[in-house]
Amino acid sequence: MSNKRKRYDFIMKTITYVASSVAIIILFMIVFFVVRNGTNLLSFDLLTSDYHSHVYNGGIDPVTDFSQTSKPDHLTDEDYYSQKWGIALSDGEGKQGEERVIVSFVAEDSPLNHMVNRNDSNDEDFQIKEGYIIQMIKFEGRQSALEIYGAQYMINSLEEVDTFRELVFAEVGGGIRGSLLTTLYTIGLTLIVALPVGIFTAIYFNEFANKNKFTQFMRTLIDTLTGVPSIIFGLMGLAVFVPLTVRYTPATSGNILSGSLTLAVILLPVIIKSTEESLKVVPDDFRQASLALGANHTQTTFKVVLPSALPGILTATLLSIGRIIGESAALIFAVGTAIKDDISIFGKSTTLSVHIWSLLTDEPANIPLATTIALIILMVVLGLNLLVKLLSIKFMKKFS
Amino acid sequence: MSQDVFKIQGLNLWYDDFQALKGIDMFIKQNEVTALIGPSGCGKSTFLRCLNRMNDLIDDVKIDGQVVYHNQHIYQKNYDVINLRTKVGMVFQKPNPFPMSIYDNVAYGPRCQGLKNKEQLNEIVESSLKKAALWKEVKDRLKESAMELSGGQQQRLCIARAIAMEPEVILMDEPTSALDPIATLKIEELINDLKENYAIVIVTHSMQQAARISDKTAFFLMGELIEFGDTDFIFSTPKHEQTENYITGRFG
Amino acid sequence: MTNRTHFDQELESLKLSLIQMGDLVIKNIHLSLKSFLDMDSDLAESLIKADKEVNDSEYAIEKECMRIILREQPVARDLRLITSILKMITDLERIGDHAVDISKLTIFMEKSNEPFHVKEINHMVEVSEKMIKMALESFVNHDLDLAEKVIEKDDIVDKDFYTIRGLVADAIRESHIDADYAIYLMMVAKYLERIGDHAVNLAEWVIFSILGKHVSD
Repeated sequence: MSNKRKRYDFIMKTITYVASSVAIIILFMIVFFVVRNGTNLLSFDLLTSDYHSHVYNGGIDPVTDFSQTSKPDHLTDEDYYSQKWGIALSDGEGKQGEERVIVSFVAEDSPLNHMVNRNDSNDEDFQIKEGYIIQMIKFEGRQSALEIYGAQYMINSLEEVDTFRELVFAEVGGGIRGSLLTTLYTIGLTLIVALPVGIFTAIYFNEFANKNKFTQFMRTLIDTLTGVPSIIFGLMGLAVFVPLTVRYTPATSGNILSGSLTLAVILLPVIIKSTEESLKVVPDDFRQASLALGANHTQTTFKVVLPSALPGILTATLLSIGRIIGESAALIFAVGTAIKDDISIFGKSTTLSVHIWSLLTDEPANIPLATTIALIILMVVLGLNLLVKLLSIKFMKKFS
Repeated sequence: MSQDVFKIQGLNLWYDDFQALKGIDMFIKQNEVTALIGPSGCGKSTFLRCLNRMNDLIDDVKIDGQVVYHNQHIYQKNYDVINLRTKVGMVFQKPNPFPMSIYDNVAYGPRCQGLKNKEQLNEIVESSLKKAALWKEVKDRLKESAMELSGGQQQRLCIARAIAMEPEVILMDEPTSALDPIATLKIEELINDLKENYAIVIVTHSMQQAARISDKTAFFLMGELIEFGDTDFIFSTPKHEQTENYITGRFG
Repeated sequence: MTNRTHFDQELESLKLSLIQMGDLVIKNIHLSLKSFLDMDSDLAESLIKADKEVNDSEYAIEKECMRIILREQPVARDLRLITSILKMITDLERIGDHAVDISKLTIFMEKSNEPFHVKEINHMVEVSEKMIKMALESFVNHDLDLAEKVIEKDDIVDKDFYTIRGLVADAIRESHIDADYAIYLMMVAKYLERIGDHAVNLAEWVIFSILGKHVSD
C-alpha cells in the first residue's frame, strides 16, 4: 500500500473508532447514572404504595385489653418496643433528611389496631401499619410526643399511660402505584383503539384498494403524519378529545381516556405503516395459491396473509408500547399533570414519564425518585426489546 | 370416448396493448394429460391461467373469445369464478405451501368452503395426501410446519392441497422446473397416476418431459397455437416445420 | 447456425459413414461376380476377407447411432433418420453377406466346370448396383421420387431372374449345360435377386425417414 493510502486508511479508522467510543461512553454514562442513582429507592413498596401521604388521626376508646406480645426476635436494639401497646418504633429519615419515627412492628393483639377515626373523611384504609410514621401523640395532661423527640421518647411516653387523646400517623407516600396503573391503563386503551383501526386500514390499503392517485395521496399523508412532533397532537388532544370526553363521559377534565385517544392518533400512522410493510413482505405466491383453491379475497386476506404478517405486526405493537411509555409532551396537555393515587379512566392522572416531569418541576426537584422511575422505564423498554428479538427469531423459522 | 372438459375458441388476450394470445382454438379432454410447449414468452402460461381465470388478478388484461367449461362460458358476466376455481385447481412453478401445518395446508380449501366437521376433514386430508404420494412420508407429523419439507415434498403437498378440493381439472405451471431430477421423476409418476381421475394441463419447458408424460401436446409460438395433436404424432411426424424446428432444438 | 450445430455435424458424419459402407458393398458385389465369371478363386478369397470390413462398418455405425440416441435424445425427423440408418446398415450387411456367398461358390467351383454365359446375369448385377446407389442417393438428398424408382426397378431384377431360370431349365433339358455349373449359376442368380430385394428395403427405409410411415406393397 502506498503512503497516501496508508494515511487515508489510518485517518478513517481512527475517526470510526473515536466516534464509536464517544457514543458508547455517552450511552454507558447515561445508563450508569440511572442505575446507580435509581437503585437506591427501588423497592417493592415503591411500586405498590401511594404517592401522596395520607395523614390519619386516630383516637382510642378506653382500653381494656393491652397487648401481651413480648418484643419479637427480629427487632433490634434500634427498635424501641412497648409490650403494653404492642408496637415498636424506630428512628428514620425522610426524603429531605428530616427526622421521622417509623413503625417497625405492630403486634396482632395491639390495642392500636382498634383505633377510632377522628377524621371526617371515610378513610377506607384506616389502620396503622408497619412502615407508617407517627407524627405526634397527644396525651391527657402531659406534653405531646412529637416526632422530633424521637422514637424512644414516644415509646416511653406510651408506656406511662393507659390512654391518649389523639395519635397522628401517616402513610409516607412517594410510591408510584398510581402512575404505574395509569401507564398500564393508557397502554391498554391506546392499543385497543389504535391496533384494530390501524391494522384494518393497512389491510384496506394494501389488499383491497385500487392503486390510484387517491391511495397514493393517502399514503403520503400518513407518511407525513409520522414526522409531526407529538406536542402538536397534545394540542389536538387538549382541544378535541378533552372536551369530547368531558361532554360524553363522567370526566370533568383531561383524563386517561382522552390521553389514550390522543396517543392512539399519534400511533396510528406508525401502526398503519408497519402493518403495511409486514403485509407487503408476505409473498404474493400465498395469495395466488389461496385464490387458486377457490377462496375469495376476504378469506385469502384474513386466513393467509394476515397470519403471515403477524410477526411484523407484533413487533410494531411492542415498539408502540415503548413509544407509549416514553410519550410525555402530548400527555401533559391531553391528560394533565396531577399525580393521583386513586385511578379511574375518566379521571386525572399521570403516566410514569409525566410523573417524572412532574417531579422535576417541583420545588425542589425530586431527582432521586425521578431517577428511580427512569430506571424502571429503562428496564421495561429493555425487556420489550428483548421480547421483540426473541419473537422475531421464533417467527423467522415459520417462513424459511 | 372421453369428453371435452374445456373447449376454447378464438381466444384472444391483451396485456394493455400487447396481444399475448391470438385466436387460440383447442380442447382439453377428460383423463388426459395435455402438455403446452413453446419458447419463453410464447403465451403458454398465459393460456393456462385463462382456464381458471387467474388472469383476472392482473391489471389491464382484456380477453376476447370463448372458453367453455362444461357448456358454460366462463368469461360471461356474473359467472361464479370462485366455484370455477374449486373445480379447476392449480399448481405453481415454485412450491408455495402456506406457513401453516401440513394438515392445515391440505384442509385450507375445504375449510374455506365451510367444511368444519373434524372427521370429514381428517378423511379428506388423508386421502389427498395419499393420492399425492406423500402420506407415508408425513403421516406422523401432520401438525408440523409445511415449511420444513423438502422442495419435492412441498410440491407434492401443493398437489395434495389442490386435490383436496376434488377438482376435475388440475392445471400445472412448470411444476418440476424448481425441483431436482429425482423429485421431478416422482412427480411425473404421480401425474401418470393422477390422470386416471383428473384432466391435467401442464406447461413445460422440457420437451422430454412433454414426450414422457403427455397424451396431447400443444405447441405455442408468439401467442399463436401452431400445432395441437397427439403427443406421439407431434414428436415423430409434426405437421408444421416450426413445430419440428422447435422440438428438434434447432431453434427456440 | 442452429442451436445444435454439433449435433448436425454428427448426423452428417453418420450419413457419410453409411454412404461409404454402401460403396464398399457395391464394390464387393461387382468383384464377387467377376470372380465367379472368371473362376478366380484368389479374388474370391480376398473378397471373403474384405467382408470383415463391411461387418466392422456395421458395428461402428450402430454404435454411433446408439450414442447419439443416448446423448442427443432425438425426436421427429432426427429420430426417424437414426432409426432408418440402423435398419439400413442391416440390409447393407446382408447384401455384403450375399457377395461373400457368391465368392464361396467360386471357390467350390472346379476348373473342370464349363461356364455357361448368360448376359442377364451381368445385367442383374448392373441393375442391383444401380439400385443400391440410387437408394443411398435418395437418402442423402431426401428424394422421395428416386426412392420410389428403386422399388420399381426391382421388377427388372426379378424379370432377369425368371429369364435366367428359363434359359437354364431349357439348357438342362437339351443337355447344353454342365450340371454343377447350372446349379452354381442358379444360386448366383438367386443371390443377386435377394440383393435386389434388400436394395428395395433400403429404399423403403428412406421413404420412412422422409414420410414417417411405411409403404409396403
